[in-house]
Amino acid sequence: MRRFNFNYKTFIFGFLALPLVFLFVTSCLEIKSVDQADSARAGSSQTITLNVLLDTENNDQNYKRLVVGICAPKDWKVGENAVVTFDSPLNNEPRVGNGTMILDDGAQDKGYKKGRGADGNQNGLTWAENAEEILGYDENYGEMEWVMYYSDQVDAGNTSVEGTVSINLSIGSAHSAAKLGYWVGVHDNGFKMADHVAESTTTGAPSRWYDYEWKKMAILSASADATDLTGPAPTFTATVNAGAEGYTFDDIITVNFDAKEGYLGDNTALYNAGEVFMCATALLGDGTTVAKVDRAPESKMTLTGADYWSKTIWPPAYFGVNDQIITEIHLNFQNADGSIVVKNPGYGTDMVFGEKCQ
Amino acid sequence: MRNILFLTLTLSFAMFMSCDDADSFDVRQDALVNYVTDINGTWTLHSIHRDGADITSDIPSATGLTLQVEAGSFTLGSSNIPFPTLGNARTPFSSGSWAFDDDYQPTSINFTNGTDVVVTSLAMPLYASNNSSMGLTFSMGCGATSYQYNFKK
Repeated sequence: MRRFNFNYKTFIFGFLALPLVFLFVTSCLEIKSVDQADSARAGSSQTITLNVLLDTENNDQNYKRLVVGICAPKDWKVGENAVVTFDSPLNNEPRVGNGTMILDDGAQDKGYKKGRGADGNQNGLTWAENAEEILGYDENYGEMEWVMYYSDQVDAGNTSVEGTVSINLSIGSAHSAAKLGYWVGVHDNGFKMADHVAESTTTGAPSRWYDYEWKKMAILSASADATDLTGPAPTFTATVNAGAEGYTFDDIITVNFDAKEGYLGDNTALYNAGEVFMCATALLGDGTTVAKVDRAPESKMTLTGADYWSKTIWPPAYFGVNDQIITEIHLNFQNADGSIVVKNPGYGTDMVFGEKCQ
Repeated sequence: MRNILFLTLTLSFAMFMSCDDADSFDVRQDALVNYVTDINGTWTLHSIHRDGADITSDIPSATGLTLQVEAGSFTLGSSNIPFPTLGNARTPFSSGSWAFDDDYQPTSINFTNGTDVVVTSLAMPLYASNNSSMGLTFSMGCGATSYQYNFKK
C-alpha cells in the first residue's frame, strides 16, 4: 500500500501563505451566494437575494454608496418594474445600512452617478455602460440590459459585514431562458481592478473592488415565439434542416441562405450576387474547431430560388471529423473573393446552429 | 310469396349446378422449396431520398458509394460518405458482418462490427437470387428523419 508522506514544511508554508492568497484574490465586495430560482413562470414576480460580504480592509469606508447592477432581458423592463432593497447589521444613524435602493437614471449629474471604469476613475460612462463594456452579457447573445441602483450613503466603518440585497422582478414572456447577472460595488471604486502586488510572494489574481455572478433562469409558459437568450442568436437569413422533425449533425443537412433576409427587412449585401460560398466552422465536442472558410469549390452554394441559395452536406465528411461529435456549426456567407461577408444581421456574428431533433 | 319461394329455389339450384370439381394441377416440387435470399455482389448507390424527397442531385459525391456484400461480410467503398454505420454518434465502421432478419423472407438487414448493430429496413422485397435492385431505409442522426438508399448491381 502506498504510504502518504506528510511534508510538514510544505504544510506550514502553505498555511502561512494562505492569508496572502486571500488578500490578493478576494474583493472588497463579495457575493457570497445568489438565492435565485432556477425557473420561474412568465408573468410572475420573483425575489432574488444576494448575500454580500462588505470588507472594508481598514480603508476609510465611511459614507459610501452601495451600487448594485442587474442584467436581465430588456423586455422585463427592470428599470420600471423592479424593487431593490438592501439590509445589513450597520446602523450608524443617520447613515443606516438598509433601505430601498434608487434606480440610476444615467444622468451623471452627481458625482456618485458617474461610472468608474477599471482604473477606478470616472470615465464619462454611466454605471450601466461600464457594466456592459466590462462584464458584457455572458452567454446571453444581446437582448439584455444592465440596470443599476445605488443606495443612500452608508457608514461602513472599519469592519466586515454581511448583508443582503433583495431584488423583486417581474418575469417577462419573450424568452424561454436567460442568464441573469448581478453586480455589487461601491460608488468610489466602481469597476476598479488592481494589478497583482509584485512584491508579494504569492501568484494571486488581480484584486478587484467589486463582484458579480451569473445565474441561468428558465422561463416557464413563455410565449410561443419566445427565444432562449442563452442559446444561439436567432436568424432568418440562414436555416439548417434535414427532415420535418429536425436533424443532428450525423444527418445529411441542407443549409439555406436567403440573401433577401437582411437587417430589418433589407436585402443582405449578397443580394443579386452571382456566386455565394458557405463559410462554415464546426465546433467539436472537445471544444476545438474545424473551419471550412476558404471558399473552396465544394463550399459553393446552389441557387435554388430567388436569391435563395442551398448547400447539402454530410457534416462528418464535410469537416473531416470521424472521432468527435459536432456540437455547433457557425456560418457566414461570402462572395467569390471574400470581399462581401454576410453574418447574422443585427448581431454581426456568425449564424450559429446546434442540433435540433424532436 | 309462392313466386319468391320458387325463385329462391331456382337460383339456389342454378348455383349448385355451376359448381364443379376443382381442376387439379401438377406442382413442381422445387417451387415448394424455400431459398436463401442472395444479395452477394457489389452494389452501387444511385439515389437518395430524405423523408421521401429525392436529394440525389444535392449530394452527388454519395452516389458513387459502393457496398460490397459477400457471405456474411460487407465493405463500404468509402468511409467518407453518409451511411448509417458511419457518423459520430457511435464508433463508425465501414466493414463488418451483416445478416438478414429472415434468410428466406427478409425485411431488414443488420450491419455490425461486433459491438454496434445498425438496423436497416428493406424498402422493397428481394428475390431469392438475381437481385439487381435493393433499397435500404434507415435513420442516421435524428431518429425521426428517414433515408432511403436505392442501390443497383
